[in-house]
Amino acid sequence: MNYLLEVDNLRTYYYSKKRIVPAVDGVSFHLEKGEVLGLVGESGCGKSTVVRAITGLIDPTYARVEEGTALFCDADLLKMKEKELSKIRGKEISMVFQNPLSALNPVYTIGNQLTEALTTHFSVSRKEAQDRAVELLRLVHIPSPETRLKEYPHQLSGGMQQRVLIAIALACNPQLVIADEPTTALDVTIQAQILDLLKELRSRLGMAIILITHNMGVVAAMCDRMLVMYGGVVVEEGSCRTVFASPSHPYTKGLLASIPSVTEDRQRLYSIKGQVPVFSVPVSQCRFLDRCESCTERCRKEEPPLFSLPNGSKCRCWLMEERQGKEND
Amino acid sequence: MNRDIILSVSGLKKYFPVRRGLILQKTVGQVKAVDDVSFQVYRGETLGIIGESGCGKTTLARMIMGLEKQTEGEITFLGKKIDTEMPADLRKKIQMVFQDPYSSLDPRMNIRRIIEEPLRVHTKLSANEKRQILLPLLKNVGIDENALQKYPHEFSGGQRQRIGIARALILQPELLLCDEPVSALDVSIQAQILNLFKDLEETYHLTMIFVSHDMSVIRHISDRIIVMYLGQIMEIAPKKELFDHTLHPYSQALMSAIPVADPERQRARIPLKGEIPSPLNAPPGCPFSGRCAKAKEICHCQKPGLRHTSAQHYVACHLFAEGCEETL
Repeated sequence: MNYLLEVDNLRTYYYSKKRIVPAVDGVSFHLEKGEVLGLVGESGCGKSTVVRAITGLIDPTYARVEEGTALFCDADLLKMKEKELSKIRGKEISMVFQNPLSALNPVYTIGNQLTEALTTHFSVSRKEAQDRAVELLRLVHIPSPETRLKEYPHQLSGGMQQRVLIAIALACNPQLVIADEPTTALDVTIQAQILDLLKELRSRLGMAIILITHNMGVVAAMCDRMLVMYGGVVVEEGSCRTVFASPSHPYTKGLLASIPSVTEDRQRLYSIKGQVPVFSVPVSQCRFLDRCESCTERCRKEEPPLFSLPNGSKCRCWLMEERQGKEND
Repeated sequence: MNRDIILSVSGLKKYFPVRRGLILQKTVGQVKAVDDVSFQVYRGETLGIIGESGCGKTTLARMIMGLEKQTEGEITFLGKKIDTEMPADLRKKIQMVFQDPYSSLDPRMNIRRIIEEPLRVHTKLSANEKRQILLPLLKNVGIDENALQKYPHEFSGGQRQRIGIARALILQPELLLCDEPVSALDVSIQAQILNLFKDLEETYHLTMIFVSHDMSVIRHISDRIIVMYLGQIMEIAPKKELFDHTLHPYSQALMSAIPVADPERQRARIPLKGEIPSPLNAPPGCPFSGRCAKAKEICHCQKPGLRHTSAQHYVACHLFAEGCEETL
């Protein structure tokens, strides 16, 4: 089958004076056309590094892509030269960042920044670019787009800024939009508006979305499939319905149980003991080991592979070996 | 529940002047950060204050803490009126846990000094006596005794927040103010800290005001909840009452906006049009009138007062005006 994006065995390490940190350590996943994939995990799990590596936005002074391939429409993004990559970035693959105020340039008008994406990738006249910009602002439901074009980022509210960023990301009709925590900096009522907008745009324009977030609620509302990351690896992969209904990995279970609920009262929250550790290469044990309640001697000696489960999910845990065995029989 | 009132706030206002000009400054407007807020806190309860950014929840907390002087209104704590110049014996009975565990700890002090500092300011205890107070507290908040000589940078966010909590509790305050204490933390760590608050509440019989923008956190921790919008209280109710019978259109929209971590149970959202108006030119009537789907004519010109609807349930909305006597 032909996937829009197919990432295989991606490794990205951060180099510090003291150690080498495996921020992304063998991540593989694929994305179909028009699919919304959620990348979930706590801070430091490598979810942002994955997409930064794919889009070539890693700072080479301290980080390096060690190995792996990222096939986008059958071309390997990781082997491309900067020049080739910048032809794809912003056109075929575009990004929406977390903090809209720092992602927009304060000294240029909204119109300037919107038309920049268009004039970089296409040879269009100023007039055409202007018209397209107005059309884009209308697409993301910004009222009176003609006047907004002449305004500067600080004149807009956070929600409006995020809408502008989405408009910029959509300027060249990309096939893939990567949204890195697009609603984290926003209030809940505005977050709901932005999520509704993303859903609407996706069904209208049919682009694929990679949504990076730490908010399980956002994933449940938006995504078709999800990857749960921990310590630089994918610990669970599956359709959203399956993962939320029957999580397999102890980490996913713990994460879901530790969210306070708005719909019911719980006396005590389940809490995963300990804290997210920092690893150094090579890792030869289960990464969740110290915080896991059902770890065995084997977890200490070998890192579990990603087992395929009968329910279609994949899970990186030795406990799943039996369940996989049954499937094979 | 014990109905002993520990803190009472009435008609509290905080207006920040907006000035223009460099030398001859003119006041050109006012930001009504907190506008006519009244409520009580009972001993032993946890009062949750929820609202979106700019609703004045932090300014309210800072005024109660005595960090900000109110423009108008009264704060009565343990029967005495307080403001920024409250006497030390009252001040030490209100303590605060801050939002950001990275900037609220002095990087040049070790953990022992940080946690002991309130004792050094307010008491004259010997080193040994301080130790006697410190050790059981450390155990209760889950910090290892060996960590006392370390510095803040050696700790993770969750551990730092535990240190901040220990510092707030060492004087055994009557009232603990928590301003978004878990919003900077990861989900798994957030659960640890929320459980810690629950445990400490029992051990120390704490009275807490818990400020947050996260409805699920507020639901988990609070006994009573205040919903704020644009500097005003929209609704006050006990937790169960608020969630079972949400009255105010804003509270309803706020609750429906929260994404639920379950793809099977996505709720119908009440769409809110527009955004929070700037507190610089708040609407003359109900602050929510511009975004409210049920707004009537009266909502745009007259401000609704807080009305008593049922047991301990107060709501500021014209929709519930008829047949309810005005209280508070």
